[in-house]
Amino acid sequence: MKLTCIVIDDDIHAVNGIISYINALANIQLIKSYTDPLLALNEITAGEAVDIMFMDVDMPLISGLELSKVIRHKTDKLIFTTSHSKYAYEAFEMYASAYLLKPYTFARFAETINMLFPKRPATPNINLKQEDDYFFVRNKNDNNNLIKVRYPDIVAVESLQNYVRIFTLNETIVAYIALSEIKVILLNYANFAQAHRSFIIAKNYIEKVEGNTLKMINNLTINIGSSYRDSIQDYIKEKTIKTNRS
Amino acid sequence: MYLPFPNLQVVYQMKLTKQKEKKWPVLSWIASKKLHIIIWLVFIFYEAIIVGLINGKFGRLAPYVLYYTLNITTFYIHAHIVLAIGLNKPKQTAWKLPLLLLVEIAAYFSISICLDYIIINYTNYTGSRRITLDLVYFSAPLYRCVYFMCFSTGYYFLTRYIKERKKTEELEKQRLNNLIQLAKSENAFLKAQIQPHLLFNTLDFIYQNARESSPVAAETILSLSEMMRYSVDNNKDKDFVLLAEEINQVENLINLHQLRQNHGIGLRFWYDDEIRHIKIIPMVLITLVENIFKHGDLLNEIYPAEISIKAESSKLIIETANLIKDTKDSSGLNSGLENIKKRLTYTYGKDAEFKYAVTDGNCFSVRLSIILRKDNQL
Repeated sequence: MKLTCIVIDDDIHAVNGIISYINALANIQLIKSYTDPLLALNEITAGEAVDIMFMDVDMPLISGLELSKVIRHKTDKLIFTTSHSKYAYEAFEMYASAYLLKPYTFARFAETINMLFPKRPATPNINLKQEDDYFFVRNKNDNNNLIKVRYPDIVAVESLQNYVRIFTLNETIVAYIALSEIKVILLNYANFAQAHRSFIIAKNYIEKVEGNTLKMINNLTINIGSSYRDSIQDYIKEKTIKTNRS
Repeated sequence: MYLPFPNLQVVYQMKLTKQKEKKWPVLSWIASKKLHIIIWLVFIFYEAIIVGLINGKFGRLAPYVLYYTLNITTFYIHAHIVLAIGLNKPKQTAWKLPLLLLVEIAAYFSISICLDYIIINYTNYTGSRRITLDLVYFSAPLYRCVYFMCFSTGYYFLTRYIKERKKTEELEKQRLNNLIQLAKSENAFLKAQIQPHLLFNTLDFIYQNARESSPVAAETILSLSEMMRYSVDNNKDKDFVLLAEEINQVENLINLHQLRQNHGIGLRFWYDDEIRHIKIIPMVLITLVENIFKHGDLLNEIYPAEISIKAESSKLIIETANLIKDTKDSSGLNSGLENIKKRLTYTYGKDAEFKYAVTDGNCFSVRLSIILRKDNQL
């Protein structure tokens, strides 16, 4: 069951921004968006309740605070969006479940929703069939043209905030996708494991293990993060042959 | 936290001490003059022994008490009254000081005569001294008088020196405090001019517009606005910040540089999430990273710059290593690093070790280690 939401913001660009974020998540759907707070007031009080309401704080005629007093009961969670009102959001905390400071990343958006609905986590809306052994991404260094990446060729994937650097056997590609998004796909394949907060590696391309450092086939040196140590060590142990004599 | 009423226990203690002082003012006065009393006792003891050894015998108690009272009184009067008044106004010193000295010596002589009279006639005095009022008679008191006056003069200048020193220290502290206040108010003034509301609204507008057409520009705006939010939010004035916050800023900074250099920068930032809860003085980590961008050569794929933060054996260790740019523009580098060193020593003292060096010709490395104390607060 998807989460239902309503967006109220007098700035059409901000509305479009949220809508594009909503479309990128599989577990949430938009019921209606409003740029006129008075219209929103009338229709929402007459309509059905929703799970989430995104409300801008500074709006003409009616401020977000006043509006929220009236329609708070029509939504389970209320999220205020504001550019900078440190003094104001303390007042809003009475009504708000969370707030988003503009401009905010998609990651922050998804994180907020997951925090409010932990039992229905947001997953990126990417449909890839498992049978293919390749995918296409937009290569930033090639005018954002699509480039094919084969899973068996991937040595490691490094996070660059909202970009990733994909190290393959032949080249390095910088793509406009976040590690958290590409992780969902890669970790479906047993060969990929997360070694560090910023790195996903292909286990079969580990050439050397020096203490807590992995050296990959392309000379990339990666420190193993503490939360990922156990699973990596287990894998290495599994694959280690040693004498039974000791 | 501001408590409107002081701790009740503290109030009770203060009452007790005040009562004690009222009952025994003499005792508390003696306690405050401990040092003087001890030095006098040692001095008297030493003189008595020496004189006794020289003369082969010791005198009676009465002369000791009387004369030492006179001498000690002279000592203090000379320091606190004669010199204080005589040297008070330098222009008048020429006539004031000699006059006061003469008065003092005359007084000393008169009292000395009185004491001699008392001792010879009213105690069991067995010595050979008689009041003859000639040069020979006065030479002893003169000698003693000058002797103690000299000591007293030394004491006077010593206490003056200590007082002056304290005054200069106070002034220095005041001056520094004023500088701090000045900097803070400048900061507040600048912040007030920025109008964050307008700023972030505009940044958000640009962000929304740029997302479709130029994701690189949009990403740059995001990182930039996060950094601006951090600086507007008054974090630098605190004594400690969470490492999590500085790390966020460092990642924003790295992101900004990466976007500008088309993601061509080679830099690895290693840390585990546990260290995020540790508190540290602000602007140390981010200054080190800024230095790397200012003075480092980061376009070499084989030798990327490395920044690592880890906590082991109850120490926080921050290390950086990077190749150095060829252009010899290390002008600001040393002063920035020395500033960090000073601030670390000021807050952590010996608990913090900060080393930096150039190795192998052009590799610059920094190592900072701070001993962790309880509550994850350094």
